[in-house]
Amino acid sequence: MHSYSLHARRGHHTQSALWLLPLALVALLVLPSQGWSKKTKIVVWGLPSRDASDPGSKANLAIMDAYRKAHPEVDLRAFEGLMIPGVTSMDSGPLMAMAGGTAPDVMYVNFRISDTYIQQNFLYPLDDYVDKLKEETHSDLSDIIPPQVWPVIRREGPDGKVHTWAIPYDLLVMALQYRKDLFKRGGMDPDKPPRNWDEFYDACMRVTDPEEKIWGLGIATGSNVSAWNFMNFLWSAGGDAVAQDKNGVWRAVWDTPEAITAVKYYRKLRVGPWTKCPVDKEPVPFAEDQDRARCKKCGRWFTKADLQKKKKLYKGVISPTGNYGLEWAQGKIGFTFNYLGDQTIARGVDPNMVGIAAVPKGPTGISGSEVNCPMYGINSTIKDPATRDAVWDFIKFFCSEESRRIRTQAFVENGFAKYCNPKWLKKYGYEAYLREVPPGWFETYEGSLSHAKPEPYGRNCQLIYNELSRPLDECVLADNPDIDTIMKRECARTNEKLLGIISPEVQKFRNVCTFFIVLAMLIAFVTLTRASLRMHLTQMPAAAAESMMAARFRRKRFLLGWLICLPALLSIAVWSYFPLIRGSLMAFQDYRIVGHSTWVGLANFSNAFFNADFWMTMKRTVIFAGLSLTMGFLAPIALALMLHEIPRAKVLFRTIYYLPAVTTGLVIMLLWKQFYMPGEHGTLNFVLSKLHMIREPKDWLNDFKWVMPSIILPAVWAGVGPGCIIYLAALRAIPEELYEASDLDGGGFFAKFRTITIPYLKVLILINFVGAFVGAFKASENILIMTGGGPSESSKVLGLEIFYNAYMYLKFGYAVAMAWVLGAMLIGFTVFQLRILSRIQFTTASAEE
Amino acid sequence: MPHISTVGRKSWKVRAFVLALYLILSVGAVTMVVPFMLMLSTSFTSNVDSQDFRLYPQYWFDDLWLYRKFVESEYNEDILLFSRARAHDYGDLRDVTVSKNVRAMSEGMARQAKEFDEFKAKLPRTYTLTAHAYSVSRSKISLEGVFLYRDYLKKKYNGDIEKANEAYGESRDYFDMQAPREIWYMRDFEPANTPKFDDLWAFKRSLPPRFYIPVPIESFYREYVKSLHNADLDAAAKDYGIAFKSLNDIPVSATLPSGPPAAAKDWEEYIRKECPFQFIVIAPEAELAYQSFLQKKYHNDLNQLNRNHFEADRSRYVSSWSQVVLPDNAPSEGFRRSDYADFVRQAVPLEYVRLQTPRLMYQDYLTKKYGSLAGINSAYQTSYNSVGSIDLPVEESDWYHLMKNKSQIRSQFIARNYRDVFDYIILHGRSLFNTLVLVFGAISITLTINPMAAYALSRFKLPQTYKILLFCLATMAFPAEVSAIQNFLLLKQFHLLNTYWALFLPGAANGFSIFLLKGFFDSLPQELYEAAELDGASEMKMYSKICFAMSKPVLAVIALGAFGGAYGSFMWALLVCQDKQMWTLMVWLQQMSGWAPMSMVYAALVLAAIPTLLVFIFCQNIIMRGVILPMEK
Repeated sequence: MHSYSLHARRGHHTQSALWLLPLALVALLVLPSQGWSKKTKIVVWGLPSRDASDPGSKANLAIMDAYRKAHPEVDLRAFEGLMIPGVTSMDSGPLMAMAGGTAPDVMYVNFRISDTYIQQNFLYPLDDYVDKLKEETHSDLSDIIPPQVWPVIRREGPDGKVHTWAIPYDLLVMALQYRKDLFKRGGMDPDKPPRNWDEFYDACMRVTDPEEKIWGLGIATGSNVSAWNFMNFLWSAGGDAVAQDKNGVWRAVWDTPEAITAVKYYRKLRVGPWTKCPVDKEPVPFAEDQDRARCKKCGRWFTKADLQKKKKLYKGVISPTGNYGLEWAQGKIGFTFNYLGDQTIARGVDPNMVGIAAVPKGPTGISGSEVNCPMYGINSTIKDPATRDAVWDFIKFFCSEESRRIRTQAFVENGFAKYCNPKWLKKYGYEAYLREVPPGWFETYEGSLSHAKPEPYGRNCQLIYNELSRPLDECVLADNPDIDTIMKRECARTNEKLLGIISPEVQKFRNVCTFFIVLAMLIAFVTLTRASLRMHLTQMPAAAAESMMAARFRRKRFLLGWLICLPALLSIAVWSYFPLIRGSLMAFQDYRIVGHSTWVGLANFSNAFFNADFWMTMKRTVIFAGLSLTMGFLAPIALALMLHEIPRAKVLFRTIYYLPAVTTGLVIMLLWKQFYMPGEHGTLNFVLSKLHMIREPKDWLNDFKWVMPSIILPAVWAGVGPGCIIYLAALRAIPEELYEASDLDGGGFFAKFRTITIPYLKVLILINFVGAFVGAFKASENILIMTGGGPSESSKVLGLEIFYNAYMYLKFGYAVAMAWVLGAMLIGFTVFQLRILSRIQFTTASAEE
Repeated sequence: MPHISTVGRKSWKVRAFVLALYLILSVGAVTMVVPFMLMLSTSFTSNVDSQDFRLYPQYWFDDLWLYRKFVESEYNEDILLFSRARAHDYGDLRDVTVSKNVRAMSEGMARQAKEFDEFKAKLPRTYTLTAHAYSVSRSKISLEGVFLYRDYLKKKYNGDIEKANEAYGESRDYFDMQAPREIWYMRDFEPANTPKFDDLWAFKRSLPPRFYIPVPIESFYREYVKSLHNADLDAAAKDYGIAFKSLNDIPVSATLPSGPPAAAKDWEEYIRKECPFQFIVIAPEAELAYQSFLQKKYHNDLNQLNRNHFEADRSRYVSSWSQVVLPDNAPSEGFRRSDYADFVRQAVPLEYVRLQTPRLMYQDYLTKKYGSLAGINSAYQTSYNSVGSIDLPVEESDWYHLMKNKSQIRSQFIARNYRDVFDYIILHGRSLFNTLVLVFGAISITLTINPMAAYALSRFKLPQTYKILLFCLATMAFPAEVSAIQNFLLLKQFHLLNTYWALFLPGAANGFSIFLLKGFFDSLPQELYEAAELDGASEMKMYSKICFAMSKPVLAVIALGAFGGAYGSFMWALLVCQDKQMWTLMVWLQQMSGWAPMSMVYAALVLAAIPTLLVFIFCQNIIMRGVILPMEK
């Protein structure tokens, strides 16, 4: 059908081709979109790649192969998600895929994301399956599901009933690992790792050698992530990030005295001033608000001011680069945290080089570390029960005793018995290899596990690290922070924002405020739209009367007329009016793509209005729009004027400036993204430094100052040529006589410009300006391509925020509410646009001589 | 030149002004053109020269640059491996040069290079790495051998990726694989006996010897020795009692060195802990030691050994420890391998051990072939002092092969990014088909629904015409994001996500287009309709012959706009068609830009610009003459 339609278009029967086009299209659309396969296809998150050669992947491959052998009827496929800038694939990628209908059948679940999945109805309850499994194996499954995990995987769902949601396939616990060579270098015994906070700080200082770029501790310190490693200190101090109150509601609790202690210790690790005694090499830390400190060995005194002069005053013991993974591998980091696993304790760690120890005990004597499980669950949107059973079979197999045995065997056979858990070595008959397991690893693992705490798994906990990182960084980066106040303030904020815990009085006040703002928005919408509509109606009575006259004679034909109009009208009704109505309702809902949505009143709006982030985004949007317009609006007009003035080579220049338009916007953005590469080998840096326009290479898209202009510039660059075409055509449409007349009157350049050109172009400029203005406020696509909103949200505008909230976080109600706010801001302009449209008519004109 | 008066044109002021205009325009024009030229030029490069920013790639005319790219490709972009093979530390392939006498390439040298291939052909597969076959960097630039590898597999599996998936236990969409990386210089590397590696070995055999890189095991040995001495060459020299000027002065001995004790200790360390097994040759005399080692290891439990080594294959079970056979080579997997490994690590008597490297083998090969040093020197016109000083002629071989196939290699380098992108975007998945459907669908819908409605409004003079128009136009005041989110959810509810409908249904009818077109249709001479009516023309005929035919310019402009919008549509296409099978060209492009190296991204951008460029070239007149201009009534 496809080729037929092409053929018909080439023929002379244009009219038949016109009607055939949609038909051909329909034919194309019903073509089968997938190949036929007898096998049941299962899409799995995180299927190991064949190309990998590390022992872990090899073991997983062995498990997969065993599964494939046992289930030849199943076709296992790896989940391939889209890569979106600014989105971590692990937590948000599957959410977007869920919305897009492409989520994996076997869903990967971790603790922090589990609640979101459960509450969004993404996971299929496994109760029946688990019961059956219990019957089959005659066990309580304690062998494959450790007791610590049950509260996470078995809990209340959105239906108010308790279900089992996921099955773990490993049990991870956080521990400290340290490089023995750096230990020795710092004059310490590598078999005696630090046991408590004081020893740990001391050891870190001994390892650290800022001149050699060697650091005591390597942990995640970037914005949004620093809280992850901080949790170990928080738990060790006896505090916690979130806790369930007596009503079972999850609350952020990082404002307790224990938490404050942890933050203070953490601050000391990050930025605490200290030095090394040049004689004894003894670390000399400065106590809080002390300017003097003394070497414990020789008693020498040191002052901050003096050390600063000699550049010997060190700040903290943590690698400031944020690149600790690489530095650890290079042997530049003394300590780091790592997960120990149940099946392979410390995979890939060389026991000769690296020691493993429990997280140092805090002042309370607790060694708090994190326990986490990678888990698998079933995608709830699977319709076919047979497929669902197949998916369960896969999960059952992957999490089973049998696959644990295969994994252990694979490790042993590949000569990596040393990484295995001795428990399983014994169980599966590899006692001969027990002596290969480094002494102490198993004890460290078991010991850490006994008092480890699960990663926060309550409501919205996938964002808890982001939330806690903010006050944490504030406490670290400020000079004399009031830690107590900061933590209290931010804790309350998080409770309110993420967990939705607000005191009733405040809530009432907010509701009232929100109500009035929303009411104002509504009134603006209705009155402005009505005003513009009424104007239209009153402007066209004559024509209407005429058609009434004609109507009498052509009543029969009206039916045909309506019929021809119908596809367009229906389409507009379905894709514009219905969405508008439903969108108005959805702004007051907590909308779920799976399961039932609930009415939440004005909550979506008040969440936006009483959220500092929202206003920051708003501010950025205004700045972005202003910058876009200043950089981009006048350029095409100026170019058109110039092209209009020059006597020769007009076509040449016009064609050159038009060049960017012969590609697409995405191509332009990606081209410039390549130009913006950081470092001296980045194209733009290279060219500009050759021209002596910049002294140092810039990281254009990662620089708070440059990021917005850098995003806007490509669009301006690409838009000036195509944009000038319409002005050129308009300039050409101005009668030459006017200028000649002005010449005779002795009118100069500017007089002509003011009295002839401007009045003629006024309407066009006005229309374009309104369009550009509205467009600039809605901009999101280019930012998404270039930065995804980064760095640190500094280019996150409202359009992008709406995009992320809707499609990445699936907060459709909130996103729609924000979209309404954006719409309300611009309604005046759109109505203005409509008004102009009613005053003008369109003609085609040429931009050429 | 309306603003500049025609009267005073010759005055210097006006001339200076016009000149200034030209100057500004020229500077602007340069900034317009240069990025595209850079894009084009860089699209022909690879990692080694992608940061040159020339207006044309240097290797087009410069043999040295061609050579750099050649070795980059040969050594799979692995600068470390290259440095080791050349026994010279190159920080950057851009610094690689070719010595004068290699450039001159005497007859003897050419002969040596040619005969080196014969030698390489005889090496066991575990002694060589495959050249041009994969890239070690995260970049996925395809090298010559990668295409050969894919062609080989395509042939083997009859072009059916599902068959290959079946065999490999993978889930690929098409033949986009690179050869699996061989790491024969690491002891841990034990490729399993899987179809994937079986195919690799067969493929490797089918390649000419110039695709073999002998494992530069000497360099690895020397680096290891250096690391044993605190990574300090001077400290090592002190222990050895010899002055080392460079790493290459560390002696590599085939057997346990008898010289300084440090040398023997290092050698033992290397053999026991580091050396890949295939380079360790254990004399049969060591069998006794092997047997007693296993006896001890298994606590005299022969059954356990049998079970571990032969699993269910009872026919191979041994009945006494003396029947245990020391394998000639390290077994490839299972307990036999780990036992053998433990034997090497802990118990093998070193006097039975020989380190066998490709270089030592080459020296043996030459001695056998030419009888003596003098014979070698006369055959190759060389002046080696001793057989032991003969290195592998890798540089000579590279230059020789490069010069022999210069133009072919050059054109391959010019084409490969495009070939790869073409494979990736056009053949991979259905992006081309999807994009075609999207573009044609968008154009045909735009040219039917909207003009039809406009025609009806313009021609039938419905009494409700203005209400209908308002109904259409009012949508412009609706907040676009609200509609977009709802449209997405609507598509989801209709189960239209990941279908073509999702791409253009929501935007099918456009109120503004209808308004615009109605205006144009109104301005057509009404007498024509009346005349046609008198002739008894059908409504359809009038629509196509009068209205459609006479509005061609504006319809063409609208169609072009629809084309541009559909072809460039990215965010919506990404959202509603997340299924890889439904990705359009732009989505592929964006995804690719996330992982591909710069030069490949540029090639993809150039390819993606071709359709729009063609449309521009053929429709230039429509674009330039059909500007839709708003005028006050």
